[in-house]
Parts: sequence; C-alpha cells; structure tokens
Amino acid sequence: MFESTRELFCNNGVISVRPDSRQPRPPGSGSPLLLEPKRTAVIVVDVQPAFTQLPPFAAMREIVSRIARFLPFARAAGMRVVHLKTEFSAGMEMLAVLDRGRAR
Amino acid sequence: MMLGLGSESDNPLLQGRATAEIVPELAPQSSDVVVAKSRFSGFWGTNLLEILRACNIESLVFAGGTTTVCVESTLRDAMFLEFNSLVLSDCTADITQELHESALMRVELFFGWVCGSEDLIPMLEEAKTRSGVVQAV
Repeated sequence: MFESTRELFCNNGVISVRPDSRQPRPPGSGSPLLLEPKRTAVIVVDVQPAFTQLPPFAAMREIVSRIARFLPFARAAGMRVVHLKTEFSAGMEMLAVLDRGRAR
Repeated sequence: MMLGLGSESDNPLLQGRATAEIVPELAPQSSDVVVAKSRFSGFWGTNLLEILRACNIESLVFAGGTTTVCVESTLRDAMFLEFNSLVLSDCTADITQELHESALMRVELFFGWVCGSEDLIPMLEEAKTRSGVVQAV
C-alpha cells in the first residue's frame, strides 16, 4: 500500500503540502508544494459513464462520490474546476489512442 | 482496442452519447470549464494550455482516472509545461490497485505531489477564510 506521511498547512491563504522527509527520493524532489487557490485548477479526468460503467474501470465508480464531495470545497476556496472528457467524433475511429496496432 | 469496442456505432465515447458526458454526480457548474480530448493527455489537440494560462493558473490538482494513463499522461505534460501538480490519492483510480499505487509513487518521487482529499479539504476551508488576506498582498 502506498502510504506517505505529508504535512499540510495553510498560511495566509496559501496551502503548503510538504512530502514525507523520510521517503528516499531523488535529488531535487521533496520540496513543499505551495498552492494558491486562485492560481490552482482542479483537473477532473475522464469521469464518464463510458469508463465508470465498463468492468475494467470499476474502481473509477468508487471515486465519484469522493470527487463530488471535494469539488465544492475547491470551488469555494477559489480554485477553477476543469473537466476533461474523452470523446470521438464520427470518423475518428482510426486514432492511435483507440487501436495502437492499426495505427502503425 | 483500448476499450474492446467494435464498430463506431458501438463506441460509448462517441460525441453526443450520454455515456460520453461527465457523470451526473459531477455535473459541471457554470464556473467550470469542460475540455474534450481524444488523446490520453489533456494537452494534445485541445486548448487546455491556453485556458490555464488565461486563468493565470500555476498549479493543478488531479482527480479522475485512470491514474496511470490519462491522469499521469496529462500530469507529465503539465510538468513539462512548468505547472506544479498534486494528485488526490483517494479521488483517482486505476484498473488495478498496483497500477494506481505505482502511479502515485512515480508522482511522489518525480512528477509532483500526492495527498488525500480529506487532508486537503480542511486546508481549503482555512484558505477560504484567509482569501481576503491573499487578495490584499
């Protein structure tokens, strides 16, 4: 199980996420992330029935309620919410993303 | 094929299909932005970068799936474009738990930061009450 202790705090409206200092990590990694809500976007990736209803992606069903709980807090703090969705228009069938073998 | 799809008429990701929309529980609000993509990364063939720059965005918080594919592909592109990225470990998912955790570990070590939504929510509430201070600076 991936577990790592992180220290989060908020100072004058800026959120700091400090990674676990005990975790062995490459040089240059491990500095704190500073999030200024108004300069932060939440990117919600591909939470579409095409995925959540498809058996291989069953785990995506379980995160929907947690994302739904999280988003209002993010918006209220001033973060912009961006939804990405995968879609194809008619005739885009040959795109490599759908069929790697055929694209070559 | 990635989704085991047959002909185009069977494709649940075809534009206009209900199955290609955002799930109702996450219905986009009027202040949200919706970006359609046809590659794993949200930066390819879209105006995502222009939107983020127009909004003066410097950091990204990721939710959704799958962690290894569309989340990580978008996050890696974001890193190369100088954005800082945080992945919400309990708001992302993958086909297997092993894949999910491997992506979180790569992000933690190389591409960004990881935390749980329940850790971040109290910070968002605190930031909201202090937003006036930030504005004044």
